[in-house]
Amino acid sequence: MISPKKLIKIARKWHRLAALKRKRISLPRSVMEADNMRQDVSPKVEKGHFVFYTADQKRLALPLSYLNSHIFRELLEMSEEEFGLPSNGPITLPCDAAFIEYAVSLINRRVDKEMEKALAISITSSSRCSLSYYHQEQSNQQLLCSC
Amino acid sequence: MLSGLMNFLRACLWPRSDRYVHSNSDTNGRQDGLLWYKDHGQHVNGEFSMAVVQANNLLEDQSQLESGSLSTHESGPFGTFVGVYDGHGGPETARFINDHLFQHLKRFTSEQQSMSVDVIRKAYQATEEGFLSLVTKQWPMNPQIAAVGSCCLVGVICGGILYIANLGDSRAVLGRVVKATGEVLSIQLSAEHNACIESVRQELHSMHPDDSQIVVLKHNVWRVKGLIQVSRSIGDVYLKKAEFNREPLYAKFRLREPFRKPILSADPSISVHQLQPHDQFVIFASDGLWEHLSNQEAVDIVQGHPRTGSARRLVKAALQEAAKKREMRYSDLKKIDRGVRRHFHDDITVIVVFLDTNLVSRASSVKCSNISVRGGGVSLPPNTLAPCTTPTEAGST
Repeated sequence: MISPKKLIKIARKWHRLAALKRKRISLPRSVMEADNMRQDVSPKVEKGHFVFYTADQKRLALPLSYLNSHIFRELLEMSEEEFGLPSNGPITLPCDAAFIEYAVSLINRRVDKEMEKALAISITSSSRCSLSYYHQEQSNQQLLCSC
Repeated sequence: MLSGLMNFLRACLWPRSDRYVHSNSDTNGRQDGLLWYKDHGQHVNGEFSMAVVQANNLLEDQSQLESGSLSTHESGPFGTFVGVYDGHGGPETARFINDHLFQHLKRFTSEQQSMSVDVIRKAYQATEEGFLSLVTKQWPMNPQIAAVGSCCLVGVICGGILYIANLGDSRAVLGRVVKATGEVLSIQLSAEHNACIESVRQELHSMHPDDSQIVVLKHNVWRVKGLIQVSRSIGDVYLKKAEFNREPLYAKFRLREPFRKPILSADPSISVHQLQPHDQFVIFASDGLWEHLSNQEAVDIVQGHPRTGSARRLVKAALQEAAKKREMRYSDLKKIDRGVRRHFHDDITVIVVFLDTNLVSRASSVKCSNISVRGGGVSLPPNTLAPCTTPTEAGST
């Protein structure tokens, strides 16, 4: 286990990084348009991507490589805990789109494994990314302000 | 003469070699990423096709097809044995069944000198008892073994009769031709023990009248004690014997109140079917397939295509359906690693057994050579072998 002291240090570092340049994820246009073009078949997504929904009902797509990150693996585990494995529909992650954006920005900056792990730990130890947007917002704030 | 000598030497040097045929590289199937398949093989009563796709970090589905003598004697009776074992909580129980159930069945067939419902029931019982003693032995070192279990679906074809035995939610479906129309109908042969079925919940309530929480709806899914979907299994000792439902077992598996009688049962539902000329094939599969394909869809896929590769075709159809539900491409779904893959679909095992009328109806005393195939092949990397896997005693006599 990582020591609380070290965790705080890491959290500070990533907070700084994130605050420095909060870039929005540019979602592939085809993904956002897919819903409008919905035909008989399920909405298609750009090649090499997976689709998920967030607690605030946003449909997002990311390249498959994100599935290798600690953060996404943790979020998938949490989704299973929270909702069970969906048998007839898409995956829903127990956090909002803003959180995903933040997580993606961290992964894109290639933060080291240690930091990804620390964020994953924070997710689970914070208020468990509750369902409502409001609570999620709060937990995000806690996450950012706890350092 | 020479081949006899070679066989003798091989048997001495490699005692397990009789269980696998080594005539060519394809005999034990092929691996393509997380997919294993054996497109075509011949059993005593016709052809067969097998396929397995892994989703869990450790494959929890195990399966086998054994054809030839169904007893420990070379004199038979002869027939075909199919087993699909869908494990949960870990791979240990399913592997244990794969290593022991058929050996027990052969032993009881020899004792009773014929195949019967009683032989199958006894083989299940002996396997359950064997696993219980393994858990008892390992409990001090590895208490979590008490929370590992497996569904257990078996089909035995012998003397023109098809026996189907089941614990849990795997399924056997028969494809039968309707003479007048030429259509092929699906007929489900196995009873299922999943709490999502009303009658299963009723059975649980009637067996545990004092426990209003015997089945609980969790995440929109009915679970026995809020923990497990199936009501019958091999293993899951923590829900069968109160002495294993205590520390150091993980808190999430421990019940608040001690129980006096087993919550889960290991008593299989067994049915007997006299095979008829219009019975074409039987699809045996774990619930990973059936959550994506209906019985009739599966039967139509098998009927509408060449026999070779039937099982792989069914797995592909299920994965395409899974990809559609997850709103992604099938080609991308296939790229996802084991472990993470479990969030996209379950382990899937399919065995399609074709029934050749002439071969099915012939006497069970007609001698034929033994065939043994294991789903997923036999070349598991050492690190995926569970520490508790016990070596199979050859012949188990």
